[in-house]
Amino acid sequence: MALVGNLKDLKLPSLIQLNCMEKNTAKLTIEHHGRFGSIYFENGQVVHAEYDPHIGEEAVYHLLSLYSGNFKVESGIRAPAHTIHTSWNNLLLEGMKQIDDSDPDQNSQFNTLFSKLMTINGIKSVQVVNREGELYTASTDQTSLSNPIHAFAIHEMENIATVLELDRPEFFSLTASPQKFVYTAYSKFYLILELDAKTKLDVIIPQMRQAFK
Amino acid sequence: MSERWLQEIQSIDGVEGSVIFSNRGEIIDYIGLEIHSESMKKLAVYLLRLSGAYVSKGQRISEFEFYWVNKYIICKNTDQFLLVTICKSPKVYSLLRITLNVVLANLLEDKKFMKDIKSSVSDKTLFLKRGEFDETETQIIQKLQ
Repeated sequence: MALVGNLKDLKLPSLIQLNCMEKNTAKLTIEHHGRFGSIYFENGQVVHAEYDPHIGEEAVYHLLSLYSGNFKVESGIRAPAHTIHTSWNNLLLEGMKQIDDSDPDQNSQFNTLFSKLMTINGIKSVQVVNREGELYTASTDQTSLSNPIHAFAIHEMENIATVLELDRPEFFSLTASPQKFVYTAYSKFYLILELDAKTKLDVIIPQMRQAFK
Repeated sequence: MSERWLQEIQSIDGVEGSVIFSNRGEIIDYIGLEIHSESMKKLAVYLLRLSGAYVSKGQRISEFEFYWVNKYIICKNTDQFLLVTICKSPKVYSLLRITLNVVLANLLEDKKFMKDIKSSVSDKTLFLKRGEFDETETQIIQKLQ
């Protein structure tokens, strides 16, 4: 029987560790916002991975950056190819190192924040952008959400606060079904959280505040 | 007409006032607010511009919310008008949302109100094309197009 779940509840490093320590031969499939990735295990080693357009170790590193996504582990499925020859523990170490590498302090700060935010029900993704809407980092490697419209939303929100002689709002949200975005200032950046459209802000704002602490 | 429904919103504890703007940024009705101030007119313009930006991308914003510790603004956006409610705090959230949904449904079904407002309905992207823009707005609007 397949093991199914979401990366929000069981992180990918734990899943890899579990399959390797149990010496499993299995296929792990991850679905994230319509994109599919897979990792193959044979006798407790990671032997192949795919996450379009990446194959092999690169695919594993990109999959490790996901904080949410449905997964399925099917036992007994063998890999169609062997593209990974690094031991699973070195693979995990290298993957975590790569996530932190570009700006270790800032990135690990955001990675911690993402892992907290992505456990909140209703939050689908988190982006970190500057005031110009340029993407700094995100909880997923999907960057299609970053566009001038976010910069416009941030700018008009600040304009509205100014004309009303108020500080910048702590949270600003707009619902354009089926999407709902929440904007909030975070250090010198803005966080843009994409929510399920039906998510009630009064329910998740206290949880978000908790995550920011 | 709309007065009765604005009164319904106003009766909720913590609500400072409400205003209905047409798609041209004109005030249709209001309650409890210093409405003739320049800031209110600009509020409508900024909301309509943002709404227009989404329309230009094929999406429609149905709601805006602004949270401060001691202030909460919610704006319901329909194809015909904007209903903006300003509150002292977001604590009134649940009752307010229910009331706003009821008010919105009633306004949309009010034939006289909708007939009156129909003359005000215009192109939703109008505010992206007309008016005074700051430098950032101009740059972003160009990118949006």
